[in-house]
Amino acid sequence: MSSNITLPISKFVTSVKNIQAGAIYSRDWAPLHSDQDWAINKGNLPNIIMNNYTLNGLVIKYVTDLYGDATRIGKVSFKIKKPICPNETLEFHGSIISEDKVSEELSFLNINLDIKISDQIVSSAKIITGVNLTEKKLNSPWKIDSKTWKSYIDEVTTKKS
Amino acid sequence: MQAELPKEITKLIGKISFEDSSPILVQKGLWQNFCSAIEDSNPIYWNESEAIKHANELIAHPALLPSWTHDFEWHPNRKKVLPMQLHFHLKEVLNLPLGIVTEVEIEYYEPIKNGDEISSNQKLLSISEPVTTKLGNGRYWVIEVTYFNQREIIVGKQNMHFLGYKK
Repeated sequence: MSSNITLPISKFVTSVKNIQAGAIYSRDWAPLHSDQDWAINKGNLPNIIMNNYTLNGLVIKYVTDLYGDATRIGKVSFKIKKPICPNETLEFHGSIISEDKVSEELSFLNINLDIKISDQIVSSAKIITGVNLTEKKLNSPWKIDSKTWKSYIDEVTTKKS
Repeated sequence: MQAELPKEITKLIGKISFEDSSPILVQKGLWQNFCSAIEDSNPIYWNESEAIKHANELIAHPALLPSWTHDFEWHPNRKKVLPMQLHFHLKEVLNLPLGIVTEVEIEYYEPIKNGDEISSNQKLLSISEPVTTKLGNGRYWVIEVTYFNQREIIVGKQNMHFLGYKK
């Protein structure tokens, strides 16, 4: 079912510490994410920059913060348009593009997300996620076996394209 | 233009060319530190009594899936294995010393849990004709990475789009 519902905006303030920690705890040792001296003097960058995993983590957090702990992410795709440095306020602007109900307690949402700094889009993401939009909480999407789950993702992806 | 590609590269298209084994078991301490960095309070990563309602136990943050195959920065007995070896191989063979990720697509099939062992393989899906970009001259390529757990179940798949270039 096609829709275009604007979702609430959320914010995240970057810092040297959270960009470094995001890189180190995702076992990404590239110096452009954790070594300011290297990033500025050898990487020709304004500062260290956020790595893919941290950005993806924030995209997933945006969705699970909205729909709760039973939310199961199926697919995330994103493009990085500008590097994300410390001391920036990221704004997450999401909208639901379509909703597909596969059972009483499971719907798949297609969400488009723009991540902005001062009104400039620095990254765009598309997310396919399973959510339970009912009051009943008996069957968490996490209990679906991987084969069935993959078939749902394939089906939603095919419809989308 | 595709014919200009070295045979060494064309023969890689569509075939698994590199494999990574798990250098470290999935650990909740690592994923909880990551969640702390991004201020993600979802109880399925933190609280066993809440997580049990969904998946019988805590679940690792999905964004970390590729990171479980990254080698240690330093190891006492061996040299570090670079992540995305296929990407570095392409850069070397094509004499394109610089590379950036332009797009990432990742699908999650199976929840990752404490103690899992994740391995992966890499396949070159496509490589473009030569391009001229603001950064320099090079080529785009797409590498598919498939991730497995210790039971050989596919837990996720990632397509990484790269630009390899030189100034």
